[in-house]
Amino acid sequence: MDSDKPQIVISRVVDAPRELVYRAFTDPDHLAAWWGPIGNSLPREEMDFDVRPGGHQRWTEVFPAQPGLRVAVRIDLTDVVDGELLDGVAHVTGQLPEGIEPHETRMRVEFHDEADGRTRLEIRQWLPGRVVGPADQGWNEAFSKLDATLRNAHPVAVDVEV
Amino acid sequence: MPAVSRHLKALERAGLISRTRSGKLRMSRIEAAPLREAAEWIERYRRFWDTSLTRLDAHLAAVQAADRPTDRTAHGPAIPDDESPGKPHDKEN
Repeated sequence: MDSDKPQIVISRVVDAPRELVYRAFTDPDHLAAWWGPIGNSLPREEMDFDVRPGGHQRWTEVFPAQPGLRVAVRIDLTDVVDGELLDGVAHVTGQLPEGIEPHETRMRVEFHDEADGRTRLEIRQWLPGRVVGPADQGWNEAFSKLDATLRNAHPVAVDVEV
Repeated sequence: MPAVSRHLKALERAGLISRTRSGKLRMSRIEAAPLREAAEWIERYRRFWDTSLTRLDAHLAAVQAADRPTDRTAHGPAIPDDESPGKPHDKEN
């Protein structure tokens, strides 16, 4: 799955130096100030960060306006380069909003220097396997086959059994 | 044609189309559900990142404003320092 293309690609420049932006992702007090939808809250005593390759980031998101929700996030970090890269698999469990099942999703964030002391974030995310691979065939493979089909054939809706 | 059939078979296995037979003809139809579910996941996480990164912008601005010594104006960025309107240097002229 890891060699597949990510389903979400975001490139965004933020107006702060790279070290500070990296800290905003890796320091619990920083992350709690901005992560997730407005109105959520990340209780400090439930945050546990050990940022290194093989380490983790854990927290719980609560929503004072929706007491029934309690989202537990655990990111198992695979690749970490101080100030430059965070790559890992997020496990999302707990009491989730309607229609969302517990899931795992790989997230990768690269931090790049930009002019004038700004930072470019390159965010990549891979959707849960069961969403992108409804059967034993991968999503990407199916689409590359579809591409090939459309390239090499008339746009058929009906084919004759041979 | 055999090549096309093979591709359609792969799409069927992936759950993206379903096929029915009618005599020598096989009808293929696109299965919307798996496509829709994936599209919803992408949309949901895109919204998540959009909101979070907008909050991140505000957080970084606030942190940098707080780190800036309030009595130093010489090299400050061209951002109005709204948080401390009573600062002595503000109205100096």
